Amino acid sequence: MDRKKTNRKYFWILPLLIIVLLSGCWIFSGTWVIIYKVDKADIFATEHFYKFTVDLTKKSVWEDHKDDLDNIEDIAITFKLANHGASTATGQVYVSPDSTLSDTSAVKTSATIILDGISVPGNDSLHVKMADYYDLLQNFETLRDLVKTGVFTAYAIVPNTFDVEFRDVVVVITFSASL
Amino acid sequence: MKKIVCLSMIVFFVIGASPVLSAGRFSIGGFAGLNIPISQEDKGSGILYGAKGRILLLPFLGVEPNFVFSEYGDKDHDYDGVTDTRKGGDITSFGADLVFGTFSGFSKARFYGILGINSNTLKWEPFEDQTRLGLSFGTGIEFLPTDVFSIEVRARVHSISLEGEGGRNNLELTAGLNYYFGPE
Repeated sequence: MDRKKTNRKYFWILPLLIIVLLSGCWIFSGTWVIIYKVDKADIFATEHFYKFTVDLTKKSVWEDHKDDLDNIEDIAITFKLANHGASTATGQVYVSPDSTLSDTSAVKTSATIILDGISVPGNDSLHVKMADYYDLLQNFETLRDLVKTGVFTAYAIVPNTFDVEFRDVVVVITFSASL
Repeated sequence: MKKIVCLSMIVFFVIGASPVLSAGRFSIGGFAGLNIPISQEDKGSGILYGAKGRILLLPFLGVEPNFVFSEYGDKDHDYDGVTDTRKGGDITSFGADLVFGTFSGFSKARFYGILGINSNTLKWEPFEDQTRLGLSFGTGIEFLPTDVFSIEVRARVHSISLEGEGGRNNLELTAGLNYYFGPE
């Protein structure tokens, strides 16, 4: 009788085992957010573009989970643009695994455009936050594949870097990994 | 496809249970509560509500077709004195839970376990909707102040697979009311 009671006591373990077997590993999955702030000193300017490299290997949370990575769920690049010129400035952001692209035509040829339609009126500024960023986003899958490698370079093309200032860049990366 | 599979399962359970329905006891009810993300830094807690039936197949076993609408709360990310808000999202889920415990007799409190399968449509902008398989497990306690009404509280872990790999796990804490039909 006591033995039967003991067996029944542990009956609840069986369905839990079934759940674990059915679900594979997704039940042991978590989602993390990396707030990657790009230092001002790490943003390099040429005449017509700014560039910065995102190196996730510098982030301990990435290093802790990169071997168990399930998916890059979201990537958002937020930044400010200040237009000190009189006329409206437009811009685009490209990404590439190559950090050595040296002129605008090389960027447009070799890199992948991810943000287009950025527009700042003369003598005005623009803060592209997460909500605005999604309206400008394209080629997300290419960006996702680049982020999976841990290191990529972004190029922000503007009419000229003397008039248009690109700053306060923050890259927000959301990824899931097995626990 | 998964919707069809889940719908088929629900239909299968209902048809399979129809002789029990005619002779046995079943209930319908509603519930509401909190949806709490587990190990998800990009989502906040939100509300959930839903409806379910319970068909008692055996004195210790029942099946609950259910429909649940749950929300994730928005999540704020703070950097450099700037707060950027990420929208939460919604999950619409339907499926069936097996409940196992002691459902017979005149006990005024019933403690039971939950094991379920469900189809989930996840909506979070700006991404496309995903319809994904989910599993759930948990526990609940039901109080019967009268023969036909019951009040129950339950805690259920709802685990949803995602496209690619990985998943989302949520703790659902709910309270609800049920109305019973049929003989004890």
